[in-house]
Amino acid sequence: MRQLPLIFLITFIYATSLLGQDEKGTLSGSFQANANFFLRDSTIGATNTPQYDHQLYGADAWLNLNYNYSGFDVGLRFDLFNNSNLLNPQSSYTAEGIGRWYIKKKIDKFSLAGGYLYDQIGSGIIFRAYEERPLLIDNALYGVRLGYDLGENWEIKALTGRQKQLFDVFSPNLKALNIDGYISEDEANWSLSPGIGLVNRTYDDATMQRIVSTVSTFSVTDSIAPSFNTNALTIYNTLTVGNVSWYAEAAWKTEDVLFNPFATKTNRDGTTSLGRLVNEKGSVYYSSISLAGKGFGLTLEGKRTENFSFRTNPFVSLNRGMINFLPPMARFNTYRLTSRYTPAIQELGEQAVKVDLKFRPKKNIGIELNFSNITDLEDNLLYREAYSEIQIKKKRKWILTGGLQFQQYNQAIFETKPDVPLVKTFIPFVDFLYKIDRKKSVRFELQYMNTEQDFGSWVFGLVEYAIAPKWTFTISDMYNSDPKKTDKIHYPRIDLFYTIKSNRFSVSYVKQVEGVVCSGGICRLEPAFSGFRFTANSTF
Amino acid sequence: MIIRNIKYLVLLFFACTLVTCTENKPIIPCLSCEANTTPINPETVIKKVLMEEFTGVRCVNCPQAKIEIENLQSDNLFGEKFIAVSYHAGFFARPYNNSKNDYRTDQGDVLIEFLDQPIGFPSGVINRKLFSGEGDLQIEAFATWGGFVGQELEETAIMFLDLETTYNASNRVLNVSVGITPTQNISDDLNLSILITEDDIVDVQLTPEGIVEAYAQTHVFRTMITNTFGDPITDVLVANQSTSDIYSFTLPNEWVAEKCKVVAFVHHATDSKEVLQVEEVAIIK
Repeated sequence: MRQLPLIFLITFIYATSLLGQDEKGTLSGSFQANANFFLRDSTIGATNTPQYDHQLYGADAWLNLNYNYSGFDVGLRFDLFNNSNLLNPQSSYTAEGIGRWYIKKKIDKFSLAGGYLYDQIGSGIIFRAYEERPLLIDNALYGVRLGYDLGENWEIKALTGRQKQLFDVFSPNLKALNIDGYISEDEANWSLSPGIGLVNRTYDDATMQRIVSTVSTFSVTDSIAPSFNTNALTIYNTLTVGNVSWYAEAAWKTEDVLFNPFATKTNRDGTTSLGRLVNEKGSVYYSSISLAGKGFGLTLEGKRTENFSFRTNPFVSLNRGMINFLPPMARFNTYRLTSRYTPAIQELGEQAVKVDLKFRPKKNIGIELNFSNITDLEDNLLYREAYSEIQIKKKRKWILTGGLQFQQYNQAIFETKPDVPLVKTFIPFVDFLYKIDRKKSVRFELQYMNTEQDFGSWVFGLVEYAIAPKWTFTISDMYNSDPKKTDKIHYPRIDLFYTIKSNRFSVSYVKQVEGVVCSGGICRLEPAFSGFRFTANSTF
Repeated sequence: MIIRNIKYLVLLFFACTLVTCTENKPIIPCLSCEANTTPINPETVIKKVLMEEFTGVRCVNCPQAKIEIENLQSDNLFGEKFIAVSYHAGFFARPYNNSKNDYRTDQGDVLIEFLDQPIGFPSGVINRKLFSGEGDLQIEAFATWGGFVGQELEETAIMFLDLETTYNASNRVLNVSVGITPTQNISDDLNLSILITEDDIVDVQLTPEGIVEAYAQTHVFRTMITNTFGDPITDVLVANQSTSDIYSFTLPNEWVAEKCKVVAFVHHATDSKEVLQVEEVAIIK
């Protein structure tokens, strides 16, 4: 029965090849595979998982096929996990099968789709079905979508189904309704892109019975009255006037059963402890305004979140069962040390502002300044970052990038570590790309993190040599120069990348430092990695 | 044009309100309104539930989970029908430099793999059952454990476990007698697991208030008396006919016999690992 989608796809492709002599179908796809070979290294904590102890190998792979014929769009994806540590970094997950299939068809003003669907409403605050393979997030909606063009610039769509859970689905039902539009006038320099969306989640009887059973163990003062249905409504709009663009979204959620790790619970002996189910309304207000000029760009963002954990049921945690997506308000950093302390989104309460300024004082000089500030709803600091970067280019010869980053990171909240101070970091970094000739280039990275807290200070260096368009070779090392918790340890990494047409392969030797991520009162170890890694990415 | 489009928005809004119609909410039984005073009669088959908690001295949220277990074990809630075992295993169970002991065990390390590595800590496995909607046996949100336990207690017990211990303090030899009396014929492949726990072990523990040096650990898993995965029950289980086994074990000197308990449970030994019945007695009554 599980092979039914595969049989259907093959039959469909075969049938259409017989039918259409004039019109040809298009078959496209992609392939991604990761293979890890684990080398036990107790000095960095790469130990005590099944992969290090006895399995020694783990792999994940996705083969995606899409076929388009005569307005039909069908797709199928084969997923494979062999002793994979993606689902749980401390454990081993093995399963394989059809991870996704879908059929889509456009008929006049109607668009129809069924299967495992990815979609979102607005910026995703009330609904986002998406895939994030490195975290094994696959929140596809297993259901149907009906869309209708209300006019040239307006579309209404309705979705209903259940959320994917690996090779199964969660029991609660989801329904969504969304209208997106576009309003402007001929030759006007303004436009509006309004939208409204609603999502409803209905608990199944078993889930509700479990909630009831849990709440029945609470004291009378902590008791809640859960509802089968929770609704989330969002209203959003983008106003564009000339080179100014302003996006605003407001979302509300009716009472929803949430696990609040900070809620006080009264126990049977009269004592109190922290952590219980609560039944709360939620809201998110998010806005961003962008101003773009010649050699100049400014973006201001603000967000306030209160009780907006929206999951398929209150028993799932970390990155499981998420119906929505709350936009992060910290800068997306890419350098190894500037991205080491990244704030996790606080679904139950945070308020944040972000400013991003980019300008070019000269044609060959680009400057970026960024500031982020995230607090809880009582104004206690969670995260603050000031980032500056300057890039100087000499055409066809070299690019020099340098910058500074200051961070304050509330480790006590993000990693649930009591009595630890704010982690304060100061990170200067430099990146120099030198083009030896038309094909060959060499790039150097040097970063230094100065901090007195957590693991102490780090140094990171990288050398990359590329022979375009096929070969890239990198060697890097991360080293705790002033350690506070461990000995001085090197974390070297060597990568070899080979690209041919739309195929990219890599072989790496990796030693990667461990970390702890906490969310909703649950802490998860992201273990150190030691071993060889092979990756393949291909599109066709 | 704009008016017409706004009309659609208004229509959508009204459509939205359709799904917000009043619903009949479930009735929450108030377990705390009247004390659960039903006596546990050894002659009556009472369903009991096993919670296998995975914890660690470096797990900051585990003390909250311990409070929740004690809360669920209070007399006016599940009382003796809820039996807990705490395995110190995994990353967060590594002892501190000033810890008196390392509470990790080889058997605990094997069982954390056998019962699915939790994705986070604290975590608990209830009756080794894969509940609908759960991806694995581990349930991380400790505030929801009571609901799973309550659901399990609503199931009908299909066997009675008669667990008795005799302890010789002079040579520290413990004899455990386990009698199994099914209420129906059972032909499934079943195993019997017997283990020892110890309460009130005072040692270092990370808590939300910081590191506490004199923290009392409870129901700490010490050892399996049977095989780690349990011993196969080879006797034919016929309704109302008892079978019994006797096990002997010598308590190490560092364990406080007065604080130790024996936990015995019968569980499936095939793809399902579900626990059918569990019993607990103190070594010294």
